[in-house]
Amino acid sequence: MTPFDPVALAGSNNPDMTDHVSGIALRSKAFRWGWIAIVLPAALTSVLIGSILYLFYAGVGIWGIDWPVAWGFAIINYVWWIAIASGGTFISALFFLTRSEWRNSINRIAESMTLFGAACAGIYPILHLGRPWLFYWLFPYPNTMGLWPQFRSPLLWDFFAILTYVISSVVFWYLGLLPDLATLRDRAPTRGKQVLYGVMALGFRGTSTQWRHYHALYGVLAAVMAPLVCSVHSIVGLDFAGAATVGWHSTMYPPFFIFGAFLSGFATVLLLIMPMRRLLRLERYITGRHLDVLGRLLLTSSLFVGYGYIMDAFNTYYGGEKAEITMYQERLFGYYAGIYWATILFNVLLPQLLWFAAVRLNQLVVALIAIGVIIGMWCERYTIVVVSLHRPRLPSAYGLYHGSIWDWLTLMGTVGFFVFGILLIVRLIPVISMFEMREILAPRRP
Amino acid sequence: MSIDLNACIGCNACVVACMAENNIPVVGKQQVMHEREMHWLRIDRYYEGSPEAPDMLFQPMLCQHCERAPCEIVCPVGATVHDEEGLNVMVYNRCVGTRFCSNNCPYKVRRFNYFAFAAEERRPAVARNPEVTVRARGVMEKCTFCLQRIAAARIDADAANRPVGAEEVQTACQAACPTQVFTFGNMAEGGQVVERKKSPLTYVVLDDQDTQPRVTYEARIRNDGSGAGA
Amino acid sequence: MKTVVASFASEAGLVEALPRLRSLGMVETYTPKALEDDQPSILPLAVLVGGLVGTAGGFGMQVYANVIGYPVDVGGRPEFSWPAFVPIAFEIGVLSAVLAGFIAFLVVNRLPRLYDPVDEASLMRGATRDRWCVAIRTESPDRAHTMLRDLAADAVEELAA
Repeated sequence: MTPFDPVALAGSNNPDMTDHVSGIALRSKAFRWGWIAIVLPAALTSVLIGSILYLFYAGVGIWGIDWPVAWGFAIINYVWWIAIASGGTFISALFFLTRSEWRNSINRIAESMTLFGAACAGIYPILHLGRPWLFYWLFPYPNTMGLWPQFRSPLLWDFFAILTYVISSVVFWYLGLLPDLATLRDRAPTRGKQVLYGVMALGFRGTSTQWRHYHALYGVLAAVMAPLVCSVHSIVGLDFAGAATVGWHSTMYPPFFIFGAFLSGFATVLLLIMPMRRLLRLERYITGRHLDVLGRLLLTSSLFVGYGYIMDAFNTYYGGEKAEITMYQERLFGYYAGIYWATILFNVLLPQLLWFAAVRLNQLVVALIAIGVIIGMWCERYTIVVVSLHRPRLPSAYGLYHGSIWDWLTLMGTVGFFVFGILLIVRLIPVISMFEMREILAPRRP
Repeated sequence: MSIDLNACIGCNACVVACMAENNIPVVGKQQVMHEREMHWLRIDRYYEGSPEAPDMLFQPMLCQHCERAPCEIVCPVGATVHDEEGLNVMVYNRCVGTRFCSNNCPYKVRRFNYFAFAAEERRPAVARNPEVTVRARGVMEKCTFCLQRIAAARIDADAANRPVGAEEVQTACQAACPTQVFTFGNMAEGGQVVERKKSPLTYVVLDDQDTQPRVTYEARIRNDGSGAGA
Repeated sequence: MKTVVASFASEAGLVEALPRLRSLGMVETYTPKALEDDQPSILPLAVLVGGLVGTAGGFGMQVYANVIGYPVDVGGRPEFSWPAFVPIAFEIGVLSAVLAGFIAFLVVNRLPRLYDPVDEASLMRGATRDRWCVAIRTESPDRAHTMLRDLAADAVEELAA
């Protein structure tokens, strides 16, 4: 395996690819490893459901949030998941617009990652409400008093952004699936599967008009999704930048969060495709080139994020505001300093190993770096949320924060739910976008 | 409102009066350890000098009722807004509990009901002030300038067809204070508050945040014993 | 009128055959990937219109709510605080653009269309894998059969309608 591998290994052709990929979804029996793999995520998903039910019953006080740190794990996890989800859209939409061929075999996995990442992110803004049963008050309608929601609030911008992002991602994912669902319908071994995929495929048959409109729409939607994902993650950044809290009120936050989204997204995609290519025998279609490209993208995003950290320090000291400098020094040397330095280690220092081509193709090292990045990004959100809140402007309001057991259980639960969702996707729909692979594969059997 | 720091002795009578007047729940030792006490008004203590013989400085801190309140603009449902009399009003039944207002308040005067503290207090109903709502779980609360007393005065004034007098309303903290730290009144009618705010000692806490609060403080003058500036 | 359905083993085979097949009657292709097609689609326009309507609507809604519907003093900020209205207007615009495009796609293609008479031909199963299929509605099916034999079609079937 070398970085100069083609995007599909020599000898790959359309009929074999179609058979192999559709076969994964259509097999009548699930994989043996599939049953083993699903146990832990299913258990964690039950833990998640249990934690949520207890939360609704007992109140948001079961978490570790207090005064002045009124936001904790819920917001940390929300931002962390949305960054992971955004990475999927970058690959499927942004790199479509650049006509990158390597995208074609991994964009389905990336989009599915977006769906479940956004699902895990989207539950948190409701869970962290003091009165979550009233979440619908954020919808834009005049209530019985004629009162609308307060549109100047960054949290309301967030509501619309996430709503738009989730719906658009589902539509974009579904649109991208339509031709492949038609393939599954036509190759279904049982009547039941034929009906299921047939209904989902809406009768797509590949006529000339259908393809013409399809490609026109897909291209335009990709051009819409790319700025959408940037806007959504910028608005998530504005949740912080739009506040007057120490350390949050910085114009750097929107682009800085987008850099973070690149970093988390590429790391998670790498973590998903490396085991998948081995377990599902997709080495022909996910080659050394993909690992090399994603490794380089991970390195590039790491450099961007590192630049963000440097500018954070520069803005603080150049601005000279006492409260900001105090809080920043807390970050470096205070109670939570370990978490800040873990961020620097995992997000900036470790990924520098990816300068070496040998490292980029060593899947174990890449997996460790990617896991490190994911942990590092969580630590970065922790630092942003907790350290800024625990050192406000008035010294009398200094406080501390610790996550409670319920915070941790909910986090682990969402991770399990995410993996559960990815396994379901692998089981039910083609993990590689077959019709897009046809664009780059040889036209006939050699 | 003007708070005279020269008069404050840090006795906490205002804190207790506020708790009694506004049905503020006692949360218990466990929750206080989690920094979730519900006092709307607190006495901040700052220490100066050597650890062996420190000077202690008190500052009562309550909702500053900012004209440009950072808490109001970040509430997604509009549960905290500004009324025409200059108060920052907290609408309990609209609050969904996002707690962004607490994060945005530079003075950290907002308190959140993490649990149903009021409901969990073992306290007979007669022990509560019937003029003031008891807040539910998941709702934010803060000093209201004893809006119930302002409303009562407004009703009396409307009935007598006159404006509310300059010193007609006394907040609970003002009434309980033994040293007359708090001066509160209807500034539209002139009176003591306007006079006190003209003092050269008047300052605004964290004025670089441009919140334009309606609570000002009169700085403490201390005699450091050096004899300078006689 | 009969429908003759044929499949070709390669894209080149179908593309060469098409001009001659069109002389027989109405021709519809069913292919695993798109053929070269220069004709424009109305969908980008639908997306644009959806986006503009959504953006204007979203902005208008916020202006109505804050200036006419229930103006209230929030932090001393002006009622017409248009910079704060931009993010939501943009997001609503994007949402309506995406939904407008998808709905227009379904309308223009008359989907969902779970059954089409051409599905009766078993060779159609290959149209989404590796066969380049074509369905010809023609008055003269015999001429069609002859032409398809000349063009080296992979498989040919005739349907009742």
